[in-house]
Amino acid sequence: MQCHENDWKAYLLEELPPAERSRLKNHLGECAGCAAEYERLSLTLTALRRLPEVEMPRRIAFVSDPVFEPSWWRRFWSSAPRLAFAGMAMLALAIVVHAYAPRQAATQGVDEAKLQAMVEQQVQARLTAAVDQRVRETVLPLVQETARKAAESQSGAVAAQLVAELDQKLKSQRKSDLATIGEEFDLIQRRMGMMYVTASRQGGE
Amino acid sequence: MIFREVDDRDLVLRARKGGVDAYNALVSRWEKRLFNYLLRFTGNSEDALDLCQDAFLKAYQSLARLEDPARFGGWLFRIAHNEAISAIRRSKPEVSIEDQPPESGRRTAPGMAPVEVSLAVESALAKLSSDQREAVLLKVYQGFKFEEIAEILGCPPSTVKSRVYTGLELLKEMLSPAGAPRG
Repeated sequence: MQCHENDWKAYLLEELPPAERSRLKNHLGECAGCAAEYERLSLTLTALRRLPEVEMPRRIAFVSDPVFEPSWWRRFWSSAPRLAFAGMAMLALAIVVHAYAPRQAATQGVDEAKLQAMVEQQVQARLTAAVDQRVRETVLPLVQETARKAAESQSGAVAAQLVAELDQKLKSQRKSDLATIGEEFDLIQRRMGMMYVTASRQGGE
Repeated sequence: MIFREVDDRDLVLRARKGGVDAYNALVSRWEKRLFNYLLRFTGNSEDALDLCQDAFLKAYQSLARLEDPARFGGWLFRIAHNEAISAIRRSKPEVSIEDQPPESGRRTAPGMAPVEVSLAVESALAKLSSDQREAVLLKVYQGFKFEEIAEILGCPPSTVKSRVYTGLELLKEMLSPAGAPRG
């Protein structure tokens, strides 16, 4: 009986590492069971290898014909460097498109409502600044003067007269301020119209 | 073997650049081995030749996809294996590839003529299952390593080893001369 740990098929099929092969070769002369197994396998392989190779009925040969050559896209998809180059080109194109597209979108995206909001914001800011300026220049000095006179006279009748004068001055001042604000607003409306026309021209390009 | 592999690599690289002569050199080098493998696998000379041509044409058209040009042989056999399996399925869709009809076997004897030995071997090979026969053909006749056969057949090396060993065991029982020493 052969030793089961010895793989004689691997030995004969040359699938063993050199050390194991050498060990089995030495074992062959010491074990009758293994020698018998080796002999039977060896005879089997010898018989198999006596099967002759058959000659081909016709030889195969290729001619330089475009019909048999791989198509351009097949070569392209099979080539890693070409695919990498194409990928880089696509990436570069995407970057260029991305860089250009937002500018177009921003130009085209200026609509009337947005512009109106922007103008109103500017109007509000200018109005607030103008009123503050007017208060600092006119109203505050008047109040201070009135308070000073009231303190000096110590008289109710004088105080009432001063208050009436102050009220009259404030009313006239208010008319003047409204006129100024109206001019400012008209100016801003005209600027808004110009901006809208400019934005529309850019968006259409 | 090493020199042949280097040559294959060079020829593949030249063929990739459109060198038909280089590819024809590869064909000359491998066609007989491939034809005999397909002949013993299919059992039909015309089918084997057609499959051989198809395999070489497909390999030529897919040459750019061969990752390691030095391993052209194994890659070619894998293409041929796939072509053969597809052809068998097309021709006999109702019959499993495993179910190959066994033929009457005969044992070899020391005094047998070469023709008789050949007939006995062919008969014994035909008794193996398709998987076992193909694994034995690739191992015994083509000399591929278990790992290479695994790549050709698309299965683990352990499966290849099992198929070869089982096939050899059956062949040993069928082909060993009567009265041969037994362990």
